[in-house]
Amino acid sequence: MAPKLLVADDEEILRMLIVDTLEDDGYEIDEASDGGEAYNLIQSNDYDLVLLDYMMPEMTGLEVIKKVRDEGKEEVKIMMLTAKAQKKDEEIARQAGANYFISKPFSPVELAEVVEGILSE
Amino acid sequence: MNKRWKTSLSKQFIWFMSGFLVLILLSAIALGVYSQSVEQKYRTKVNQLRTEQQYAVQLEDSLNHMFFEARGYLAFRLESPFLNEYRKEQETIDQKIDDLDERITDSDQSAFIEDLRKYLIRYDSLLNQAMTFVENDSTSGLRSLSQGGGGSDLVYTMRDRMRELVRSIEDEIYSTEEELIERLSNIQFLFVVFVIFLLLIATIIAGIMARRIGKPLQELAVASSQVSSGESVEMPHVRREDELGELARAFNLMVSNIQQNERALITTNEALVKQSEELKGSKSELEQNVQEMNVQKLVLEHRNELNRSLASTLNKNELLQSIITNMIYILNSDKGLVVMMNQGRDYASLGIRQDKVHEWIDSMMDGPVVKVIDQKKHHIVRRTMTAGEGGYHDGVGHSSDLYLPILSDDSVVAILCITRIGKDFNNQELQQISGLSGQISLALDKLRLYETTENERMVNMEILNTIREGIQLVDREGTTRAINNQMCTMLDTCFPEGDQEKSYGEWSKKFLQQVDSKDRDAVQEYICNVIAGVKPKQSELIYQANGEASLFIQMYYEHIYNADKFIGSIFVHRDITREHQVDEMKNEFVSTVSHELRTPLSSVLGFTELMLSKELKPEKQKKYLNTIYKEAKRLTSLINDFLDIQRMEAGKQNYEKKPVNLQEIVEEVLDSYRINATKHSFFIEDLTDCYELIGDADKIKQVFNNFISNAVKYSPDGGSIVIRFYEKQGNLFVDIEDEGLGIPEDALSKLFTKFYRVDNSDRRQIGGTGLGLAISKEIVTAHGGGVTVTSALGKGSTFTLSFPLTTKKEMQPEKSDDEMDAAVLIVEDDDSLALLLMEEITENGWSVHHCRSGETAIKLLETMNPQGIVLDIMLDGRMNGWDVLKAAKEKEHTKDIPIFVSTVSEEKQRGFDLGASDYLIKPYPPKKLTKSLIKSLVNKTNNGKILVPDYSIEDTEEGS
Repeated sequence: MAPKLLVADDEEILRMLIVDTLEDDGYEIDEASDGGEAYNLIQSNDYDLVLLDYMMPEMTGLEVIKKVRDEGKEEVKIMMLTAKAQKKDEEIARQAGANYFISKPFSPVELAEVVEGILSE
Repeated sequence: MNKRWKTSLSKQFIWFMSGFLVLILLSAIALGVYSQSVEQKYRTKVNQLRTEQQYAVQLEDSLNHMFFEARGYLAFRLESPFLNEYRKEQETIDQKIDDLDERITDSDQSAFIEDLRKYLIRYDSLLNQAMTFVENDSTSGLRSLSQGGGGSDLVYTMRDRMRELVRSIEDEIYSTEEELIERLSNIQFLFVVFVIFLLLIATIIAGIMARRIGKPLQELAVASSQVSSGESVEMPHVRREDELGELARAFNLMVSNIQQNERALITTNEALVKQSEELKGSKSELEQNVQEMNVQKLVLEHRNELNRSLASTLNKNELLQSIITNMIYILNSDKGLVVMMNQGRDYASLGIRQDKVHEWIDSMMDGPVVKVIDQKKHHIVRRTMTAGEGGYHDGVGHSSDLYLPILSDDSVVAILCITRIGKDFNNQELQQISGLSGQISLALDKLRLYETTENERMVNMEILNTIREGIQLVDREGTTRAINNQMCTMLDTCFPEGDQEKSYGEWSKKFLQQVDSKDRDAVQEYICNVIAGVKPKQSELIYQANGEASLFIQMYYEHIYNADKFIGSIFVHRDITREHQVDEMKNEFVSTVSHELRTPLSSVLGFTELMLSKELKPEKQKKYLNTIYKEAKRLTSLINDFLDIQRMEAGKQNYEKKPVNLQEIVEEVLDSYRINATKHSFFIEDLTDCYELIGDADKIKQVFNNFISNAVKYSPDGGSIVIRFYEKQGNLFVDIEDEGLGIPEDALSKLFTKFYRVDNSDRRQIGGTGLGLAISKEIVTAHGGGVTVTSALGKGSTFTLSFPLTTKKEMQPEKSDDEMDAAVLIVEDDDSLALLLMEEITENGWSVHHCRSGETAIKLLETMNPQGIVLDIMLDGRMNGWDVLKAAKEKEHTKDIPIFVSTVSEEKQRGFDLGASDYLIKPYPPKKLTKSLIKSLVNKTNNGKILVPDYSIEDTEEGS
């Protein structure tokens, strides 16, 4: 069965970029355009990896992570994919419970490799 | 008894009264007894008489009865009953006569009784004769008997005599009554006499009493009133022995005592007066002594006072005033002054007018002062006293002026000049003065020293206070030695009572309270180390202070050494809040910018990389390229906006301000949207005629571009966008109203913040940098205006911009250029048609002004003078084209302007009747209008008006 991924970003173009980058690798990909939607999807699905933007309407990526982790969903792997690229932003994200952190702009090729690496762990 | 009588007035009075009463009583009893006996006598007599009368009457009756019986017998000759009755009656009569006889006292009556007895015997004998005749039936004997007259006459006589008796008894009763009445009247008379007698006696007694008591009492009263008014009285010697006599004697004794006492008192009084005079003499002597003592005391007091102020006063004016005041008292002088020989010629005076003092000081170097300064010893000038000093005295006296130098280090530091009027200074006083001058000089030296240090201190403090940093000087114990104003204002750590020299415990408590709790421990440790002379870990410290506002303060220190000995520390507190804020803002800005740039950059880089690394279909490639292009453009506009906002915030944005017409700008912006808009329709409501303001046209265009593009962007489902102009209180307001998504309530306040974008996925699809509104607001604010917003979620938003209007006066020339002299006025509510016509007309070289309502047209015509009017009939608002036509033709200054009616209505005749120059029925080719215009206007040129085409149409062309 193909690994299941969730891409959450309020920028449609970026979602398209991520999805286009990863779709050739045979993943099943869901999309969410804001934090709330992302949270709901995480609740109702078992994703192998969640790619979360930081700045999103409704709930920020950070809030989504905190809520998910607070509710005991420790097993979901979450990757923070954000334009907040400073060192302290990464620290905050990891503290909240992000497993991976990639800053924008990112290289799609690298992203694909990282995702592949994570999913084959 | 006689003695008691004589000594008691009350007894005399009682005796008199009791005698009087006894007399009354006795007389009354006598009178009573007498009247009683009279009455008694009367009653006895009357009773006796009445009994007599009764017997007499009964006797009379019996007689009559006897006669009647006798006659009966004689007449009827019946023995029984008449003769029996007669015998019975005879016996009764005899009995009664006896009874009567017993009672009768009167001799006449006794005689009558005797007679009566005799008569009765005769009558009986007669009757016996008669009876014999009767027994014999001798009528003739009877007749002769009766005719002989014996019987009847006797009866009649007896009867008469009987009556007489009764009458005489009655008379007697009557006379007895008369006698009684007479007696009673006598008694009454006696009673009256008795009453008069009593009154007489009472009067006599009263007279006697009055003489015996009233007179001496009156004499006593007069005498005592004389005594009380102080006259001497000699009372006549009274021989009486009663109370009055005693009173009089006592009075006399009292008077004589009083007179004696009075004489004694007078003597004593004289002695006392004498003593008092002696005492007065010694008292005035004592008073004089006391006065002298007081003067000495006052002098001593003033000496004390002078010593005290010399020793303790550090205020120069106070000291000088004290010196002169006390010296004048000590020397018992009248006036004087003290002048310091310093630059300012500080002085103090007593008893001299201010202007005189100044005059004296100004000219003192011309007088004796020079000599005093040179010789450095006192100098006395003896002179005639001035009129003022002499006061009201006429005589010529003299005054002495004492000039006394105050020496310090062998130079004169002050001069005292003291004047004494009418008396010289003696040697003893002058000696005293030299001692005092030494003291004064010491005090002045001290004062000078104090002033110098005080001045230095003030200068130091002044320097400290001008420094912008808060500075606090503490000694080795941590006690504050000096603190500048800045420290107080910055941190509110000072104490209100001026005395800031507080121990470490006191000031640090107040100070540390202001330090934010997160920094407090570090600050305390730092301060403690510094005070102890230990170098703290960091040479400076930044802390946050929470006073009225939150401040960021940088604190550093410096240890102070005096001859290599650590004596204290200086703390310097520098307010770096502004730098801190700027720093924070910079960081935030950089971080935000980096975030905002990274997003489009991600797309550009990502898709490029995808294109490079993947084999893609041509459609996908094109899609990617388009995306890359769009994102790159977004990146560009972001960078432009960043630069704008950066410039504006740095205050480096230059505005090329000149008069602009806001309506034209808005029209221009709108045109570009009109062309592309498919879902939106645009409306302009102009509720004003003033669009003129001073501003940078390009920047204002940017503002409207931003607002109108927002209105379009945030109403994705289309709708109308209304732009409304109106004037209020000298400001031109522009509403930009859309029927879009609206803005949530909580977002309204943050709307104009940089990078703020309403969080909503609907909106995320709508691109933007989040800087547009911030930039727009900056621009409008730079023009002196403002931006406000109202919004209802789901219904739309209204942004209201305001710009201050330039005053009419300012704008007058501008207005005349493009409005007043516009050749053609188009009144048309259909903007597109108006635009079409305007293009047509301007192409032909005329300037055009367009308005949408009849009211505006009429208002415009008051000031502008167009050469033609193109008038629609169906207009918005209250006035239609007919109304405008009529109004224009009615007014003197507009009635000659040719009016071209342009309408769908076919009431051609009505138009011409109202004075229209031409009537064009829509739709018509625009050329037709220009032809008509040319025709009409050329005609007008003949009347002397020359039509000059206006080339200010370029703007309009550009905008269209």
